[in-house]
Amino acid sequence: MSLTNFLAGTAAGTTRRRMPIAAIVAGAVLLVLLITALFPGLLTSTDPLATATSESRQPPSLAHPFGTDTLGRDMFSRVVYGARLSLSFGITATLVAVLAGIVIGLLAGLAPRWVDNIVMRVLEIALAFPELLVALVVIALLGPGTVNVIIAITIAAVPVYARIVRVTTLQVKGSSFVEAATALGQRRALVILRHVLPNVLGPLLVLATVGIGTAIISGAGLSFLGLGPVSPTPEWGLLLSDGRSSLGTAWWIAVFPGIAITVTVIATTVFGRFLQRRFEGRRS
Amino acid sequence: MVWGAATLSFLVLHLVPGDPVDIMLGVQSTATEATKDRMHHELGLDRPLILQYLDYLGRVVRLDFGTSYRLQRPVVDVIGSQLMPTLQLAGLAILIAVLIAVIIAVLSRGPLARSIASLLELITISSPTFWTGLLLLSIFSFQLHWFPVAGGRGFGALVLPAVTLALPVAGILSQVLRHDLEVVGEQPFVDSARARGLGHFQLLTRHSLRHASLPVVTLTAYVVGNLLGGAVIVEQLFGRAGLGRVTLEAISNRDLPVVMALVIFAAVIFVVINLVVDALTPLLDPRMRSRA
Repeated sequence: MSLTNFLAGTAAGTTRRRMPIAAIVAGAVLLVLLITALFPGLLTSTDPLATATSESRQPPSLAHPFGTDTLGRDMFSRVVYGARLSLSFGITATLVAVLAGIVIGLLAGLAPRWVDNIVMRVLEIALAFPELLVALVVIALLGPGTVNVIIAITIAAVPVYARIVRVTTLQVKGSSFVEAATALGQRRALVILRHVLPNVLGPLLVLATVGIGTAIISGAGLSFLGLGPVSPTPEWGLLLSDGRSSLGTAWWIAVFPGIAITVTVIATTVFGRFLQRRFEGRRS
Repeated sequence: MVWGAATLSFLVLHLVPGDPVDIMLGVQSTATEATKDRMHHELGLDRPLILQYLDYLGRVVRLDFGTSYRLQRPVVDVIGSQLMPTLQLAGLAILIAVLIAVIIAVLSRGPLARSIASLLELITISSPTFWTGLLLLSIFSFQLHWFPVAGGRGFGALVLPAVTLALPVAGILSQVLRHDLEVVGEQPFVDSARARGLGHFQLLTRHSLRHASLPVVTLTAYVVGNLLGGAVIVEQLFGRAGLGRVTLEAISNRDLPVVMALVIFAAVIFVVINLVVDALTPLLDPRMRSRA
């Protein structure tokens, strides 16, 4: 079982009424984050790598809204530039995992029983472990590094998506419109593409939105542990880890990257739940 | 499932490029090819894969996970010696999480309280543990000096890590518990209990909570998994010894026997927990007894 399932699944009924406004805000936050990640230069003109030892550990001020770190680097621009790597951890890993999940899930759902059984056994084992542990094991095998972190989060996330695609495929496979399409003589591959896949995409989209948040946490967590990118690359998890050593004297170094991660994850979760409600509303 | 995890980790281990001998020797080694070949032979790495696999399974059954590449100590010792700190940490964390979840679930009556509760849950679940941990450290250790900063022994050093570990779990538990309490609230037995003159609090403690706790109990495996994963980060963050530390060090050093043993260890834990949960459910829910 995974955090992704949880964020998407539970407490669906509890926040129903407030949702639209929250969803708009969440959507806006996500949009801003995306722009930040694509064009960090729009928000700050300061170089995130420029050091100024005379200005080290400055508290937040007008010149440095998030303060400066031990080497006098502007934390605001480091957080802004960090968005690119942190978000791409989440987005890349989720995209690849969803694609792999679609392929594995469709194959498992449509393949002969024994193939399905083997695939599901492997997935169940992977699903029993929390995503972070799976990712850690992958890192253990591949070694640390930015690309390996993305690979690790991707592999850890695939089972969740593969499972939901398989379940939906099995449901759709037995439905009358697929039967009708097959009876009309459409080729098997075409039936899958036209009739099975579109039905799978809805629940997948919901899970994937929330999954991006989970993947961002995992990615930042791995870099926090020192298994991902190395200093001085701006990345939220790494920034947090750097801030740890000067927590007593300069709280802002660790606090702002953390806020960035949390806000991002909250926004994806809220938006994902909104999509889920839209989706369920259409179905029932 | 344990067998599956063992097999999977064996296969992956042997599919991965990289020679364990190179890892043991370290990067700067100047060992000759002959020395390497001798080490291969000693480790049995030159035998057919299927023999290695059977041999490996046999040793796993006897709890012999081999020797750590880096520490040159039996893996069982390495894990065993670090088990207690993590157990204490996880135990206290579960206690705190359940306590927080129950308090939130019980207190959240009325739309306003419910909104606040769901906002709190959203925040705790979305905040990465390494950030909440740093915040707690910053506030309670550096500003208020209530707790030791890092390391240290005794109960005081355990509180902040446990709270850090507990918060996301509490958020999840409270979400589920609140949802269940709402569902339970619509059951006819609640009306009948009210009719007998039970107050809100008595109703909760005697009937509803027990009812609502069922789905929460089935979450135990998930929660424990979460704690194990979280322990890696929290132990690193607070500079504590424990299994999480061992995991991280084994991963950083690519000490694969230790990693494999940890995977199998985790699988065993999940199996045991699922068995215990299956055994516990009938105790909580009399309806399950007749069926069993």
